[in-house]
Amino acid sequence: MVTCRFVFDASPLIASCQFAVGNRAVAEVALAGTAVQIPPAVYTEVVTRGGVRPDALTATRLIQTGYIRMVDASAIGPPLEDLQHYQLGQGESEALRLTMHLGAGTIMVTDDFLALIIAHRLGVSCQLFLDFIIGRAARGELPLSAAQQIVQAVSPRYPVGFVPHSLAMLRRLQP
Amino acid sequence: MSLVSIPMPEDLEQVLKAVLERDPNKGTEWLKAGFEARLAELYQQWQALQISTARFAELLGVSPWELADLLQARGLKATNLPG
Repeated sequence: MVTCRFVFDASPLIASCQFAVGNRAVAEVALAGTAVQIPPAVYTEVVTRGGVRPDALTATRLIQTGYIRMVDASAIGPPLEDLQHYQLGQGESEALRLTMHLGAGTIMVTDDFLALIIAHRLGVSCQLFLDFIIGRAARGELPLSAAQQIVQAVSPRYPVGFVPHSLAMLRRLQP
Repeated sequence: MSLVSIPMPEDLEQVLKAVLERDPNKGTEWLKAGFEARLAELYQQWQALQISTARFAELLGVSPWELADLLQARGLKATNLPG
């Protein structure tokens, strides 16, 4: 079995705290039992800048309970000179650096298209939050029904095509 | 509505002072128009992939949470994904 580590930037983390499946935040369902890491700048964007908003407090709770681990600034790796050509935010830049630094078996999760393209250009594994969910379901880490509910829950966020495609991919996983 | 204090460049202060004396609500109108114009400008850059989501929030001076709220309130796209 392949064990993956995941590095999130702020975009999927915030969205998964804003949408719910039943009475639980999507993040609580989607991240259970996985190894998610965030760099300090993502912590700042999500937790510090989130303050006492109820959805931001969900993210804080996920970190406090160990669903998400913030890595130390010394662990995110050296600055990437190539990033100077792009206008990424602090969190996305550090998430890219951390994913590259952690190396094989580490996947960055972002819903930012620019960050996704840059990651691919740098040879960094990177996927959308929807594909993170599909991957967890494919590996048997997330029940198929929960994955379908999550995709439905976050559907308002995605352009036409992404959600029906994701649901079709999940249907193909059915035994 | 609450009152906020904002440092003002001298040249703009001269103009604004006169405007506010005639119509105190103009300050709010100017501020709102300026913010909306900046939001629209950065939204275009974001959709064109000139800036990322986190950079969008940084340049607008809001948190990523606030940016998500602002986009939703205006019925704008929540991501810069194509489609």
